[in-house]
Amino acid sequence: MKIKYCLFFFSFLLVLTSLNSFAQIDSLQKVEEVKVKSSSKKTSLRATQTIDSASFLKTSSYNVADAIRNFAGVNIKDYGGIGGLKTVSVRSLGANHTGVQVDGINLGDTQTGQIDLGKLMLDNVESISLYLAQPDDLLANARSFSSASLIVIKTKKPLFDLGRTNKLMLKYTGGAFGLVNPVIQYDQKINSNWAFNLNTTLQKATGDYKFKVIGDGSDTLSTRRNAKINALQFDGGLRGKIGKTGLLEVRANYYDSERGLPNAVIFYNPTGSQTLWDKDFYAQAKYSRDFGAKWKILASGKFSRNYTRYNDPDYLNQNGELDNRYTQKEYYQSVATTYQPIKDLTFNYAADLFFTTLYTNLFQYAYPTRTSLLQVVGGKYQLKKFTFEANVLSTYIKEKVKTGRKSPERLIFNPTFSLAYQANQNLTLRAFYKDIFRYPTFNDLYYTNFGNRKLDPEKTKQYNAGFVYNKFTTSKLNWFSISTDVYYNQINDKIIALPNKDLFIWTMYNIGKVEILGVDFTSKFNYQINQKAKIEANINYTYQSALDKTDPTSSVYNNQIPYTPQHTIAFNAGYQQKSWGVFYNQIFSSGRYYLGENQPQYFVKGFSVSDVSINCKTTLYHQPISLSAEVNNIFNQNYSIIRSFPMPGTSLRLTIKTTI
Amino acid sequence: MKTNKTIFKLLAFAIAASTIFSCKKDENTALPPVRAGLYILNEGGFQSNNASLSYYNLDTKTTTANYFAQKNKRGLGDTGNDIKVYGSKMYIVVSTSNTLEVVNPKTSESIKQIGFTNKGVGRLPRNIVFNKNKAFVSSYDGTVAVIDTSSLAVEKFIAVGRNPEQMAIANNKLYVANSGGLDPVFDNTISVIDLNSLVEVKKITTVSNPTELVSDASSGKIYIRSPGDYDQQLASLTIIDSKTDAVISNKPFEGKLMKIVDNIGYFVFNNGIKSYDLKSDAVLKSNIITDGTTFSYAYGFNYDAVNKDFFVCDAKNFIGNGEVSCIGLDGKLKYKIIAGVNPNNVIFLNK
Repeated sequence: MKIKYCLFFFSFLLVLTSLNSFAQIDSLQKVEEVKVKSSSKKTSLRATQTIDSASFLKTSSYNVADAIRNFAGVNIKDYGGIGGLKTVSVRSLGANHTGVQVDGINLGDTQTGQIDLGKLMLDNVESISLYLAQPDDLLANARSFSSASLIVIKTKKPLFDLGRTNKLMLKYTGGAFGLVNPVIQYDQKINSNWAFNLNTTLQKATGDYKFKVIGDGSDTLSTRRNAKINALQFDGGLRGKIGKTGLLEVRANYYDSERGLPNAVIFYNPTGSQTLWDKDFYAQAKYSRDFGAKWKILASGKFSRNYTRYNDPDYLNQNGELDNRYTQKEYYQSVATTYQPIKDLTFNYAADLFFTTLYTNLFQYAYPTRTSLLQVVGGKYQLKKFTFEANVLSTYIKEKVKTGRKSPERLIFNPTFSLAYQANQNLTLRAFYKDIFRYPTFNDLYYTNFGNRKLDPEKTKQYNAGFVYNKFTTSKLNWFSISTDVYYNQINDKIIALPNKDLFIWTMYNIGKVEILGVDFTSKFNYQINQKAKIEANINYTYQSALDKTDPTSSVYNNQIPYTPQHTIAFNAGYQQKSWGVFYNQIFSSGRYYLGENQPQYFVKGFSVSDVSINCKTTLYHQPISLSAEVNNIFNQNYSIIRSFPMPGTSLRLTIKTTI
Repeated sequence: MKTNKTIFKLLAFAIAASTIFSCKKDENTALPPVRAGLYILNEGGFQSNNASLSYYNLDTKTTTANYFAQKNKRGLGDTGNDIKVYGSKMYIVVSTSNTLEVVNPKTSESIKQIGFTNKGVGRLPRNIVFNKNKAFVSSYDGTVAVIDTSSLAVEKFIAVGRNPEQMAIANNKLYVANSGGLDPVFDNTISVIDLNSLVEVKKITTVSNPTELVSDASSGKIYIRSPGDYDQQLASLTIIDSKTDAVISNKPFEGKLMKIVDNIGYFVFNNGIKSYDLKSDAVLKSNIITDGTTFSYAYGFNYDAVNKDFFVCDAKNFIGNGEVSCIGLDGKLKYKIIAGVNPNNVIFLNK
């Protein structure tokens, strides 16, 4: 209840202060975001990739899934359309092995184990990084070390022009699919130490688009219907300095959406009428400070409540509809510390304790509660040109259920090792090994009739070796960076659904085994034409051989696992002037198989999708205005990432933005 | 008008009669029928639009995959659930696509596609049986459709129980297994439809989740199999006497996809074939297969009365091609055929 009041108060405040601030306009220079750029140039022990808010437009990104699709090693599963589910698998390990954090604390989904990145809007996001194995900063909670890879979303900090104590950003995006998307962001300085920001986003779209059905004998275009979205997000952050080194960050977020699920395009019966409602809330706080020169601590806590309702009005049961409701709650707390006895040596320790519950209206549901205790202990040692990092994560999980048997209690230890060698000023060689697992989700374990309470965790091993070469020059090609990483991954006890002996009910089993051999190549170039103009380009390439190794006698043995392209290329290039820029983005994916057996009849053809965006900055009535236009899929490719879920053709998005 | 209608009716009757007689003639001629080949219905994966028909030519021993799509330049759609030949037509029930595809069995060329939607909502058709020039199609919306096999007009929807599955005919009655499979608490009744009046005359209460129905022509018994309800009730076999419609036996039983050959019931059990004596109601052999042939996931089971062969459809791992094994009455493997995704039925075509 308290939280609701807070939200109302915030939005009320927003209206008041925004009216106020129209009156007080100063024209002063901007603080540039130098910080983000310099950190991206710092060499990581593992191949970290980052995209900042300035690049969202350059890559025609509309949500978090779009923003990271150019990263090497990333495979986005996109069910199409504005409201379509979008998940990310990194290095072919599967979406359940990718953790997602906002400002250092995980977004949890214990029910499905997958975060829908399409739901995460970019308006309040400053940067998104993809870490392999663990974050680069050792002062992090234990959960950061608990997934094979980690997407870290950093929200915008309150930022002010010189002499100003507030800022109002207004943005409006509209375009194809009947998209209406206004955003208001307000930043307010309270005093020299404290500031907050508030962000409200409304997203509305009919979502309908034309597509071609292939294989049903029709030769006209069909329209994808029931793809509407109505979403509203409130987001607020408070940030303050306490004492000399103390920093407190508090954030609250509420997301409310109603989405039509257009369903698979079924031949001769293409209608979908299901609806999905999400009401997600979280509030989190993070406090960090130094104790002298050697100790640092970080304490954090979070409460989240995710409510989902799924309705199918055409379901042929007694009620004449299927109406499932799920409420997940998580209570999370963590303490982390680093100790640096000498300059070249740092130890880290963190302990996280969290409780997760799931309530559903499913028949005879188990109503599980999961208690997780994660602890990580490790360190980093620098010896001349070598950097060595190692840690061990211990995971203790215990569950309670209201009905039936519970999943057994578990204690698991997992190591990570990283090594880097700075060969010279430009070249760094790096390698890592990580052993981790994904714990079975509540759906895997307890879904009525389908769940298997005896499931083991799905284990992964990652071996990686690579290099990064950065060069800064005073010539026109003033900066470039290339990196290549070669890796070998293993998945054991992969959780797979198969029918039980009566074939009526599918159950989860730990039977899959996958071996992945991959190469990630990244490159970035910055060419300064003159004082005012520059060309930026980057090309990333991913090679994936992800082979099923489950059963040597099976026809799918040594076949590429479903929906995994062998080759993926992401290309982005842009010409940037002081007041305008034009950018081109292209994603190429080779063909994939939608089934485990690599037969031609199970092939989904590859695609190459191009987006173009233009932006310009101008002034209108002495107000700085930024205008942008994005044309997605300019060559109107008819393609699908997931079979039976067609992607949209050419579409336009226009944005106008001003900061007062 | 009236006379026109009568003439039309008479004509229809004559045509219908002649098809029956011609059928009968085929069966009664001195020359026994010879099989030309067989069709395999591949159910496909849910939401994958990859239901397909494979044709296996018994002379050349070759398989043509996607036979329907090849002939009609369009796919069958999603979830092919049942296939049967009646008279001069072959009928394919495609559940999720909500269609009944009527084709020429010799060529697989489409004669008519009958849609199964009700005000835009799919009925989910499941199974088909035939009686006296009428096709009966059970649908998950709790109906049995009556279709005239010569005009192919849907004449009537008979209301039955929840989510009906298989049907069987005995004593001029149609028995329908009401599974109630889309609810957490299953249905437990068998609807009895009088084949003259085409209305449901009663519901027989049996076990929870009745799914498969087989009638034994020689004894007039109806065999009902339930896979159980995953809670209290085990998989079971229930017997109804079609003369009295009384339940005469009900016991836990493991085995599915029952076929009856000479007073013996055959079931798929434990990826083998179980035989069961219908006279003494006792298991004969828990597996009649003698040469060690086994399956990954036996998904369909059919018997060819002409060549006296069993066909077991193996869905393998559900992520690629399935396989169909031909097994003789002696329990020995004769040959294997590569099928499409999740094969569930084999039907036979005469020369």
